[in-house]
This record gives sequence, C-alpha cells and structure tokens, in this order.
Amino acid sequence: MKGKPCREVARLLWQFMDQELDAAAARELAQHVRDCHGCGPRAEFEFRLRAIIREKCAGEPAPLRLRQRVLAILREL
Amino acid sequence: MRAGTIPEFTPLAVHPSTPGEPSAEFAALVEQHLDGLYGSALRLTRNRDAAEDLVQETFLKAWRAFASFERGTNARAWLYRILMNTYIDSYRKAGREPEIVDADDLEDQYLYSRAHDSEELRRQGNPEEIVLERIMDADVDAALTSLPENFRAAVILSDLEGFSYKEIAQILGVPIGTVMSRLFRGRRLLQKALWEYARAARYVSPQERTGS
Repeated sequence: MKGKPCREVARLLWQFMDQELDAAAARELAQHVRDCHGCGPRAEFEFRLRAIIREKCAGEPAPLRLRQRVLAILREL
Repeated sequence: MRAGTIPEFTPLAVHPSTPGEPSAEFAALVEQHLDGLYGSALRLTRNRDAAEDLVQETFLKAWRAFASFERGTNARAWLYRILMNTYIDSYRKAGREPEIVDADDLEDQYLYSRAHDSEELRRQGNPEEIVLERIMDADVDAALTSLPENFRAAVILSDLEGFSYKEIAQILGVPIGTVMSRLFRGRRLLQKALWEYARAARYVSPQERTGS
C-alpha cells in the first residue's frame, strides 16, 4: 500500500474516528482506508462496533423525582 | 407570569422568573443536561440511588458556582467537570483507590484482530459479521461498567458523550496524553470483554433460530 504503512493506520485509526487527527493526516488516512483491502474492513468494523456500543448504552432518562429534587435546589438557595 | 396558574410540572414555572434571570437559565441547563448526566452517573456509580445523589450534588454545586460560570462557554463540559470531581471525591472519601489494570499487552482494535484471525468463526461464515451480531445480543452496558474507574470514565466521555480529547482533559483535570492513554486502554479492555462474550456465545444455526 502506498503512503502510510498499515501498521501506522491501525495505530492512528481511533484518533481518526475521534476526529482528532489534523486535516492532512486525516485525508491521508481516509485515502488509505478507501484503497486498502486490509485496512478498509478493519475501519468499517470499528465504526460499526462503536455505533453498536452507543446504541446499546443509550441509557435511560432521569427519574422524575430526581428532576424535582434538582429543581428544588433553585428554591432553597 | 401570572400568579396562581403555574402548571405543576413545568420546571421554568417552579421558580417564577423570566428568561435571562439566573434561575431560569439554570433551569434550562437542568432540562438540557439532566438525562445525559444521570446516564453517565449511573455508569460511574453502577447504582441508581448513588447516581441520583451524584447528579443532585452536581447540580447543587453548579448552582452555587453559577454566578461565576462564564456565559457562552461550554456548559455541558462544565457540568461534567463538576460531576467527575464530585464522583472522584466521593470514592476517595470512601477510601477506594483507582484499580490498577494492565491493558498494555492488548493491541488496538483487539476485537477485530481476534475475530479476523479466528479459524473457528471462519468455518461458520464471516467472522466479523458473526462477532458484531453476537455483540448486538450482548450486555454491552455491563461490559462497560466492569471497566476500572479511570478507563471507564474516559470511554464514557468519549464514546458515549462525544467529548473531544481536549474537553475530556479539562473535565478530568489531566493532560491530553493521559486522556488518550486511558481511553485507548479502556477501549482495548472493553473489546477484550466483548470478545470473551462473543467467543463463548454458542453458535446457533439458521435452522435452530427458526425453531425447526
């Protein structure tokens, strides 16, 4: 693969997904992932996994009594 | 605001005030961030009562400090910072120390690598698809809450709450390098836990699934 070696892509993939790479590095990595048969599926897997984790941990809304307890703070102080 | 006609559960009306006043602004913050903070508190404390106490304490401190809160700056990050400080104080008071766990021997994208290299899964079809399908059925929340405190906090703030490294550094009061180290270790440990689950999950053939 031209450009970044795959090992380097694996190392930077999470920072890329977190949108923490600078623009040039992000472009280079995205290009590599598009073209590389090894890194493409790896990146796709990570994106799907993160979406699943987010979905499965979506959480529950705060109980009404907590809302009331918190808003009561406004009256006390 | 008309007196005597205040609806019972309209938060802005709990404290008669007009928008622009601190209490109205604060009530709006509560509305906006209560659910998110509670969700994170629940994952940190692993306990509903403790989560409620933590969130209440957080908003109490926030309200006391609200006069000095700089309007226009990131209120959500500010609230999370108070939440994390309160949480860390509470577990220090309880005499608990952060657990030490070594995740350095695990590689990044641990789960993908294990799935990709698994001969057993390959015999059953597409290993990556099988693993993701099994994780859809897994108790991912339990796997996340099983992570050590420091790593769990970083993963919650990044992967669930979508804060940037810089924001997380401010929320936790640690350098960005520490954020990255905790976050990546946390992710590796989470992936390891999910891999253990996916590997142990019994293979169910399409015939069995349809009940024949």
